[in-house]
Parts: sequence; structure tokens; C-alpha cells
Amino acid sequence: MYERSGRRVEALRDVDLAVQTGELVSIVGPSGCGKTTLLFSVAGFIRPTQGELLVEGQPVSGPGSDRGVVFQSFALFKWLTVQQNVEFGPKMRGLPAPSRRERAEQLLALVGLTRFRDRYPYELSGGMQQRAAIARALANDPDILLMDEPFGSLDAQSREMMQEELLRIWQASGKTILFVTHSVDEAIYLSSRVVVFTSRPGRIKHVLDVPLPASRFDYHIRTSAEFIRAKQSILDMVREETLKQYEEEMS
Amino acid sequence: MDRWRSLGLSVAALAAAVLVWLVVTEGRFVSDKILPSPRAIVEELVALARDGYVGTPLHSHLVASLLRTFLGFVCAALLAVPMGLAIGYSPVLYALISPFFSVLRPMPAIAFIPLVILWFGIGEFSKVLLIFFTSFLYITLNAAAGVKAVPIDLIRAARSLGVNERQLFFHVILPESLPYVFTGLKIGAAVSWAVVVAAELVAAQRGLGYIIMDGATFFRITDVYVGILLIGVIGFGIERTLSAIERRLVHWAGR
Repeated sequence: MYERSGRRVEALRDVDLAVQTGELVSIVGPSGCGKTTLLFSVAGFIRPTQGELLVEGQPVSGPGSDRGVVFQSFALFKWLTVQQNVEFGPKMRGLPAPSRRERAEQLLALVGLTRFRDRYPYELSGGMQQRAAIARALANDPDILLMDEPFGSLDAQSREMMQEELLRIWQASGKTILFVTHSVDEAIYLSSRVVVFTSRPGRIKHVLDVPLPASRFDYHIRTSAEFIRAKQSILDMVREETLKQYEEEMS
Repeated sequence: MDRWRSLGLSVAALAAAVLVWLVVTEGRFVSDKILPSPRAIVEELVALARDGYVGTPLHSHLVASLLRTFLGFVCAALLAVPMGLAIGYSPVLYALISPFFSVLRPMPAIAFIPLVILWFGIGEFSKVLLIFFTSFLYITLNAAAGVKAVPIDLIRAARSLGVNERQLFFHVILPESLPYVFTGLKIGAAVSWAVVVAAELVAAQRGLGYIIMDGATFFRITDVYVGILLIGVIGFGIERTLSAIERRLVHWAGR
């Protein structure tokens, strides 16, 4: 439960989820089911009124640089260049200039933006802006990367490219990633586990172990039989919850 | 429409207006006591630049108006920007101060001219105070609006990158609000320039407003028009200058 404009909203109920280090877990569910609420609670933006939230064994007490966040809106600092954006976190935390520059250069290379490091965000495409935001979120070397529909505002082609890119970054960095998305395809393609939420108040309806090999760079995997089967079962669950929510709203 | 075509059309429209003006005045369709011809105005401007207006050089009048505006505007900006940012940042300050602004904003500065003269006389201070007051309102309100418009995602992103409260304000909220601050400064400068003339209409021995008022009193209609045109041209110049600075300083605005 959390408070919004003075009104108490029960967004989540009985959510019990443990994410392993180095795992990429996706959360899907109908709109307004509280999946972003869960993500933002882990980020420390929202304080749950009940329950316990532990990151690396420590209770979450607010936002912190041990958890990097990537937003759908990119949320880049428009007055800073790409490199300055990536260096922002280390700079605020007092890292000396040479080491944060070195760190930024590694990350820019990782996300493929080395050539664009002196550009401003508005000079880049949406996909490139999101790469910059991912690099920025990784700059503090967080334990966890929290991603809230990061590719939701990209066109279909850039979206698929960015998914492959994210898999590569994930494998290269070894980060734990919690990934919220509307897209069932995206969830299956990226994750080792997909968590399906019920309609509000969000509960965990099902956790699906994705039956795909760890290496997924062949994009034909998106049309393989296992993929389709997993997609079918998740779509059924999401649809069931969406209909439930619909009926509740209409009654 | 491309930029040159648009510029061409604007120039053509302006030229057409001047042409109509020329025909109407030079053809004696209206009396030059009501509307002097552009030619007469240019000649008068040259004469004023050479001989001054009633014994005072033209540039002294210009400097008098510009200095008042500059003084009032700069003092206002120095106070209003921090104040606006603070109001936008602190809900408590906002609740305390915004009602005053809501009441003051619809009151035109010229309505205060008699009062200000009553309190502070007809000296320089009164005029500068009027300008200060007017631009202060606009700059404060825009700066406050800028802080309030900072997207929550941006603040959250900064927090999870490890900023403290002071860093959040100076490294995120302040730069993100700058485009709004600049809009406020532009509006503030424009209204300051308008108000200086109004203040000089009432009480001044110098300034463009004085030329207009004095010209009208002694029926030197061409001087009135010269004064008005100079106000327009200088106002346009101020706006352009600030816009140019804005494009350099907040290049990301609106993108």
C-alpha cells in the first residue's frame, strides 16, 4: 500500500518474490496492476506501508546508487552531453575526474555510444537516448538495474534491437535486472523468469521459467515453438486478468 | 515554409504597410497633424539626433530610459530568480506567497503610478521602483513554474544516481528550470520597457516617454511619432538580444 495525493491506494498485496543475483526477471500484467509500483518500491521512490523489501539483505529506505533506474521517458539531463550524463552519478558521489571519465568511456563503449559522447540528448534518436540512460544507470556500478518499460516509447524495430543490446549488456555486466514491460514478447525474449501479476491490487499470479537457452542472439528464437507456447500461456493469463479488471470497472 | 521565404514575406508585408502609409500621407489623404509621413518622421529623427530635443541630446533621452529600465530590471531579476526558484521548490513558501502574487498579477503597474508618486515623489526612485515591481512579478512566477514543471522522473533519476538535496537543487532542478527562468526574464524585460515609458509620461524631464508627452503637449506630433517608433525599435532590439542569449544558454529548450 502507498499513499497518493492523500488517498491510500492498495497497489500490491502479498507479493513475495525473490530475485537471484545476476538474474533478469520481467514483470508483466494488465495496466495499473502495480508492476511499476513494485519496481519503484525497490528503487525507493515509494515507501510500502506494509511488508519488507530487502536488497542484498538490507531493507530499502530510499533511493540509492546501489540500484540504477532506467525510465520509459529516458529522464536524461538535457543540458549535459551524453558523456556528462554518464558521469553524473560518479561526479555527484565525489569520484575524481580521471576515474569517472575512464568509467564513462568503458560504459559508452559498452552501449555503443563512443562516437556520440559529445552530443546532447536531443541530438540522438530514442534508442540512442535510452542507451545513454542505461550507461548512466550503470555508472555507479549498482547491484541491480531497475527498468520501467524502457523500450515502451521506441518504434518496433529499435525496440527489438535494444532488446538484443540489453541482453548483451546484461551478460557483459552480470547485473541483476528487474524489468517491467507491457510486452509479453519482450518479457519472454529477455528473461530467465517472467512474473505475471493479477489486476489491482497486484498479486503474483504465476512465475514462468522461460524454457529458452541462455544465449538468445539468434532472433529466430522469437518464432520458435517453445517461445510461442510460453507466449500463449502468458497471454492467456494476462488476458484473464484484464477481463477481470474490465468487468470490475464496468460493474 | 522555409526560413527565407518566411522572412521574405515578412519584409514584403512591412514594406507594403510603409508604402500605404507613404501614399496616404504624401497624397494628403490625412492631415500631417494626425499622421505625419514616414519621410517627415525620418527627417525629424535626423534633426533630433543632431540638435537634441528641447536642449537635451537625443542620446541622453535614450540613456535615461534605458538606464531606468536596466536598473529596475536587473534588481528585479537578482531578487526574483532565487525567490521564484524557492517558491517553486518549497510547498510551504508557495502556499505563503502565491496568494499575494495572484492578487498582484492582474493589477497593471501603471495603476500604481499615482500611489508611487505619492509615496516616493516624482524622482528616479519611483520610476525604477515601478519597473522593478512589474518585472519582479513575471520573473518570480516563471521561475516558480519552472521548478514545478521539473518532471518527477528526472528527480527520481537523480536521486537514484546518489545526489543529496543540495546537488538535486543545483545540478538538476536549477538547470531544468532555466528555460522557464529565461521566458520570465524576456517577459520581464519587455514589460519593464513598456512601463518605463508609462512612468516617464507622468513625471520626467528626460526619456522617450518625456519626448512623447512633451511633444503632445506642444503639438509637435512628429516628435510623438519619433518617440513611439524609437520605443518600438529599441524594444525589438532588447527582445532579439535576449532571444539570442537564450538560444546559446538554454540551447536544449523545447527540444
